[in-house]
Amino acid sequence: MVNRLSWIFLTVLGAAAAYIALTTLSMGTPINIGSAVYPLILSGVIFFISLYSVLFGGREESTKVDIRGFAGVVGAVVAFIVTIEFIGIIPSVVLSMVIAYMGQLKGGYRFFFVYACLFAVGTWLLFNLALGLPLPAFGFY
Amino acid sequence: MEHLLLGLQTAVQLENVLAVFAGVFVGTGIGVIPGIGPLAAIALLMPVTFSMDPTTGIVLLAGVYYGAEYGGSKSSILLNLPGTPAAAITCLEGYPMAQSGRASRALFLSTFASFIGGLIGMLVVAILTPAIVSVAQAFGPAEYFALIILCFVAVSTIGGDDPKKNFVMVSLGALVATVGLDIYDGAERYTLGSEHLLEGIHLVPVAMGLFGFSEIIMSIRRNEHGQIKHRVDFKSMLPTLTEWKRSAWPMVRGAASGCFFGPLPGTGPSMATILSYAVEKKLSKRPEEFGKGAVEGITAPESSNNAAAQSAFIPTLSLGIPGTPTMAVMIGALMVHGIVPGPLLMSSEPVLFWGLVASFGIGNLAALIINVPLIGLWVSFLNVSYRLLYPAVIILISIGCYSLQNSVTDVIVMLVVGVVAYGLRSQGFAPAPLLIGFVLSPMLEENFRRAMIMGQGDATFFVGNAISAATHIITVALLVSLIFRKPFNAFLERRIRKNLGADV
Repeated sequence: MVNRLSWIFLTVLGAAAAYIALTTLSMGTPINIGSAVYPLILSGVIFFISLYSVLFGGREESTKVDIRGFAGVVGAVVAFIVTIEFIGIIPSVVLSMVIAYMGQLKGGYRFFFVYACLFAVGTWLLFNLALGLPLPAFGFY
Repeated sequence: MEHLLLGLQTAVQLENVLAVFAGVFVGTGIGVIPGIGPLAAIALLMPVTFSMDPTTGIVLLAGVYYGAEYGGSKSSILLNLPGTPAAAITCLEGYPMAQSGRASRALFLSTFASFIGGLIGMLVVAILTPAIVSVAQAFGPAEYFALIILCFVAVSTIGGDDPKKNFVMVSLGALVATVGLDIYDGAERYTLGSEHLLEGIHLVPVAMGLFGFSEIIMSIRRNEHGQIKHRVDFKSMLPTLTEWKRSAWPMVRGAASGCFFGPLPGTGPSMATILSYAVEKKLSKRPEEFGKGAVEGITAPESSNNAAAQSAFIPTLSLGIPGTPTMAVMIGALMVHGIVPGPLLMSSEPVLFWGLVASFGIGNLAALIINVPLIGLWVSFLNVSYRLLYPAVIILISIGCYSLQNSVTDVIVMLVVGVVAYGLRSQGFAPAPLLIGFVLSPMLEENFRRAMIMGQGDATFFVGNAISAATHIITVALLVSLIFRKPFNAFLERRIRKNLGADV
């Protein structure tokens, strides 16, 4: 069923992309091809192959999703996006690393926290001082 | 010859030598650790090269690529866990060699074979690229259109994955690349009203999402392994005379297979290593030793792997068409520096082209120096727990995306691509076709529209000359081969089962 869901997702994506191309872009003429044609061909390929797979595809093997790992990594990136421009690179990196670390089951947090702090200082030194990225260590961007 | 001298003069400049050493060092370190891979490493380091001279930046990224191929065999030999996909075949003989107390010699032989393969690959790049360029200079939009379609079909049909899924992934990648302003009429395509998306989606967040983000989630559980138990030191690395003799020809044959498969789209180093291993097993006078630590089973695939890594630059530099996802990222890196790869690259940027080719020689020497005496360092890398590494890699990926425009938009794009890629990968969709589709898409559309203008709207223009017609015939042949694929695979399976039965 999960495998069928990925095909359904792609069918909907292809249909949506084709609809947007048809309704918002121009088709042009054979000599002067419009901006809709190329994305329409691509979305058509995605739509028809995916629809065929939804209707006639057999059962297929799928890998078990690692929900904890997935949540840890997604959570870390979301935390980075939300905090980087508000609290500065060092606290943002520490917070994101701790969230990412929660994606696995082993190891204690005390050692990891110290490691994350040292790594955060290292990234600030590298990206801010060495490469000139305008990211303050703490505070607003 | 004077071109090679020009290249050598460029490659031996201090900043380029330092860039080669730094690239190979970082690449080896990344190749050693399973779960990151050269592609994510190149995408990660790409923003660092923005402030560099283009030649120095590209030389550094190329060093990361082949450095990772050198490093990939370490974990194959010591942990039975390949650092890079192409090093998977090295597990078959490398790990048994380590278990029988010959880990140091296996590591030395794999490094030396990589060196030989890399050098042969470099020579092939230097000889073949100018020859292909001289032919490609006559290519027009119809020929380019045909070549890119062939590349899409080859990437989708060659290899073990489901062609249906690959076609969808190539198309999806090409569709994602259409986001932004249209090159001809300036229309906004799929921008969702976002100003940041008007210039299109950058390659780095797409590559990071596909190969960094999703790979890390898939590796969290997979890469927790025990400590290295094998004793590895510099003194015990030198192979015996017999091992040297047994390795010489396999290295040359491996390099030949690498040089053949490296430039072909959809095949790359992995297929080259599998074939070279199979050839050595077939040719060996001691086939019974295979699976128990036969040196030929290490030296041939390792030589093949590095020859393929170097020769993959041939279509990338001569035609601007990448055969592998890593080469797609290299094209992106060139374009970020304002350099358009293709037939004009050699004449418009001779310093960069020949400097890069000559740097392969220095880079392979650097890899030999970095890999052999520092073997203890790389082995200690393998003892670092993956659970400490992956949070750091996630941060580097996020900062790398952020640094492109000093904006979180690219990090959001990376997150969306990564989540979708993880979902699709867990259902058996390969990420490589998507990246190749993404990189080649603008070129395909431009040549399609130019060809339609030149042909006055007549679609027969696409098959109006010998080169494009022949290319389309190969494409159709590849598509037709899909019909016979199932019965052919079933036939092969029956043969293998029969042979295995005879052995038992």
